Amino acid sequence: MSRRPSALRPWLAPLGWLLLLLAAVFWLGELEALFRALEPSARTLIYPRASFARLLLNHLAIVAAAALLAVSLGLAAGILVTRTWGRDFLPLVSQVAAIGQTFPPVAVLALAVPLLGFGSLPTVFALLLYGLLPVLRNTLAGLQGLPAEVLEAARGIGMAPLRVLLEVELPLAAPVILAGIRTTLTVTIATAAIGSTIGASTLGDPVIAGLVNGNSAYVLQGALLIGLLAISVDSGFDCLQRLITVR
Amino acid sequence: MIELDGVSRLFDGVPAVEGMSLRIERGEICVIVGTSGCGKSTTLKLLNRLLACSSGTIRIDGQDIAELDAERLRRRMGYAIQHTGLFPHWTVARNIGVVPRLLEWPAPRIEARVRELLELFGLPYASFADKFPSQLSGGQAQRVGVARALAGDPEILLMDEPFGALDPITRESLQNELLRIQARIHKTIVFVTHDLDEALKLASRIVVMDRGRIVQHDTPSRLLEQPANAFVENLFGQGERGLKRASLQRVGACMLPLQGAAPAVSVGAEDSLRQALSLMLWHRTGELCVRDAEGRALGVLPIGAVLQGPRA
Ligand SMILES: Nc1ncnc2c1ncn2[C@@H]1O[C@H](COP(=O)(O)OP(=O)(O)OP(=O)(O)O)[C@@H](O)[C@H]1O
Ligand SMILES: [Mg+2]
Repeated sequence: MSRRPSALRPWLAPLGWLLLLLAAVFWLGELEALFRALEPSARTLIYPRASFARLLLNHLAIVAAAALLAVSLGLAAGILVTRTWGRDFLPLVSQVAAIGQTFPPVAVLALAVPLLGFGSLPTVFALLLYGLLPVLRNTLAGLQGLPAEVLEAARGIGMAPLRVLLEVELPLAAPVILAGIRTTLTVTIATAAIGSTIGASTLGDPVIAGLVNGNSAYVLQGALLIGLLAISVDSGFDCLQRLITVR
Repeated sequence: MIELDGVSRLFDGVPAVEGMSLRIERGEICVIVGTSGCGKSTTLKLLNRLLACSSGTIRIDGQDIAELDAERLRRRMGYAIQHTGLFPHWTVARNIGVVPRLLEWPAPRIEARVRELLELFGLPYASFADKFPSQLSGGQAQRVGVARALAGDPEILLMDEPFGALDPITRESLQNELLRIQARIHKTIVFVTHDLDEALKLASRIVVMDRGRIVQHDTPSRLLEQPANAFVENLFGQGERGLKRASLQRVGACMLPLQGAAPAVSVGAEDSLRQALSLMLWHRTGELCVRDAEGRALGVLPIGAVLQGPRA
């Protein structure tokens, strides 16, 4: 892939969002006066039980674990079932992934608790199931949508199957696969908040606490941080995708 | 030398190629023609083992290809296809260099080879090496596709409609390039085409296929003169057969010695009788002056000599 002359410029947007997120994490506490306007009667206005930095880190750890698993599983499954010898499993795998997606994450959480207990583990599990489909679906679409003559040429020229995969199929399918990973990540970031209902500590904590106590300042703080995190990551991917497709 | 011995290939029980026996000599251009779906591409893919034979054997220089390593076999055979199959994410240079890289040539040798091939196909290295396939015209892309097939210096070249979907002028210039290159490198070429004039022009021998079987395997002129059946006769354009044969014959082989004044209208010694006939019709004359590339008069071509054809 060719490099642009000014390598930094396309990254300005995600950087900006990231700075905004960090600013919010560290200075949201200073804006008590503002939240007072929203909730004049509340005793505390800033979510007190954990620092936003702590929540952000937890949130990120859960998202990273789930997304890493979902992406590697989805990618691996997508690659396996598009090989000539794995083709028999194609319908099965796409169905399983589709079912994973139609299940609402709350239901997965509810089902996971008796199996895995409370906390981060069932949350990661639910997010993994939920995040699997976008990567898998896009890996399949990307690999199956490649021009047949390019693959025929690659094999006809004498490339070994692994080389065809690494040098031709994956690079050509990369933009589509990356789009899937992007969806997985943003969905996971947003959905991870639900983990707070079963005891995982995430940016969802202020939201849940706010809903339970009727304190919309908490809700706003949690939602703001989750939103900023999702936008930062999404706009980072936007740049990455553009870098990959532009030439 | 390539030998096919009773080769068949079935798809879901339906034969695409059936009982095909064929011998292709080293250094010849064997052109396969036939109606769409008659098994031409399948035959090529059997040769480089993109498809396996359902029965029968294929030998190259006496060796059964089923016993060879498929990838190594393919690297010995250039493969060019109609839609080029160029790798869209690689530059022209990298596309052409792919087989030498697979063969683990040292980098300077690959680079030199890419340069040589680009020049050979009239694509200056400086302006084309770093282009991507999407930045090429159709004709340029097909040239790069053929260059890529040649890059590993293969003994055998398999070409599946490599000049398909090109305008007649580009097509003809690529055909001439191929003949010019073949005169230097003497590969064994198996060439599939829909275009019968292309077949007649390029082939040492032509294989006519119909529904998976070989109908006739012969030199171009014998195909025209002694078609094995009505199918071949039909294929090689009934009414146009005289002109098709004339396009295979060179003026130089038919001319008579020059006596007296040279006729006003001239034709090149390397031109075909078909071109000579066309000149006669256009200028309403029965006699042409035959000249060599430098313009020297070599002889005359009266219409009678055209009708007689080349003298043995
Ligand atoms: N992979 C495949 N699976 C099933 N049938 C196939 C396959 N490849 C080819 N066929 C069938 O085999 C027959 C011969 O196909 P082939 O591609 O060799 O034809 P062709 O002579 O190259 O035709 P064309 O001139 O249109 O390219 C056709 O009837 C085709 O439908
Ligand atoms: Mg074909």
